Amino acid sequence: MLGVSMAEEKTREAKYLYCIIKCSQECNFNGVSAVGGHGSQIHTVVFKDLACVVSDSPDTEYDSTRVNMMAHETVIERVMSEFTVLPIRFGTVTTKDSGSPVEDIRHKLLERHYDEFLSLHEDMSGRVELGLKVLWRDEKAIYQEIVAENRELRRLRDSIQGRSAEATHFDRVRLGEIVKKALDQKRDREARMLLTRFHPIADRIRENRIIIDRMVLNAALLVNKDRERECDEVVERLDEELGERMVFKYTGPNPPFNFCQITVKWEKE
Amino acid sequence: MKEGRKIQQEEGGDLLTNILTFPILGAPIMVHWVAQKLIEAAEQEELDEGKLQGKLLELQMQYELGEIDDEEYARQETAILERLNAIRKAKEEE
Repeated sequence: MLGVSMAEEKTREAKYLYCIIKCSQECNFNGVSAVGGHGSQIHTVVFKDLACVVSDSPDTEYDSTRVNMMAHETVIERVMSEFTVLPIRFGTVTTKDSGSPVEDIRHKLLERHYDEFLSLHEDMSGRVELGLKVLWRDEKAIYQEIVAENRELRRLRDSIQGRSAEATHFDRVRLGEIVKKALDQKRDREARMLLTRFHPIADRIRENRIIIDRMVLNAALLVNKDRERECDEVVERLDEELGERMVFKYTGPNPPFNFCQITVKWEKE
Repeated sequence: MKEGRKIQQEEGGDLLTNILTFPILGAPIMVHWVAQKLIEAAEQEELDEGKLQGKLLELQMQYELGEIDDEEYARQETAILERLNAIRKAKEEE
């Protein structure tokens, strides 16, 4: 374990940051473990009516392992059960040079960006983030469709057949390009069709990068809490209509990482 | 059907090399041969963080889809993160 072994060598001299909430009291969050697994208490650092949720941590870089990232998200979800959260990017730790990590959080972060955080909070309040990943169920079938739909591709394939690898090098590169283009177009068409169904419901939609070839859509939806059920129903209907062709991975409510994730850069004085 | 949570990360995968590895037209055409060359070239040239982060995302997706188990996930994750750390260290020393 890369991060942990480094962590053990150092003392707890910094704070690990999870999210910002509207709260004017110092408090603890129980029932969840800190990132890094060193058993420190999840608590708040307060400035006026804003608070940053943190845990004690060594000044170390955390590897983006699934375990670490899940711990980060689990803490934020725990806080989210009571507060509207502004999630902070995974792996954010106060700097070692700092005389006081608490004062840094209070003044360099919360005080300095007070108005921004308040308005972001207002923006996120009453809304939830939902995640929708859609994948083609059978990748092979999609490629068969592409071959069936594309005459140039079939012609090129047939012309390559029976000739040596050297002689057909450029044809095969060209073949790859045609397939890629056709796949992109097919994906785009189907993704637009899917998203149309969410436009009347979602306040904002963010499309993230396609991770694997058979992925059709990788989207995050920001939805008013009152309309979450409606959104669920759209996904259920899509699954009924298209479930044979596509797999729907629907998650939420998630911390709004896609709509207000906070990246902290500590400035040197 | 809604699940509790997932992992978010930016950066994505590597489409062209993947697509070429897919045996779309069967063995006689040997798309694989080109694909392998491309992948080798990619591994040589693109030892950068973005690519590796893309691989990590791809790995997470495979795990979420149940295509690989915990053990395989952990093994590959460690390998990718070690390479990422090595690159970051090399950059810092520059």
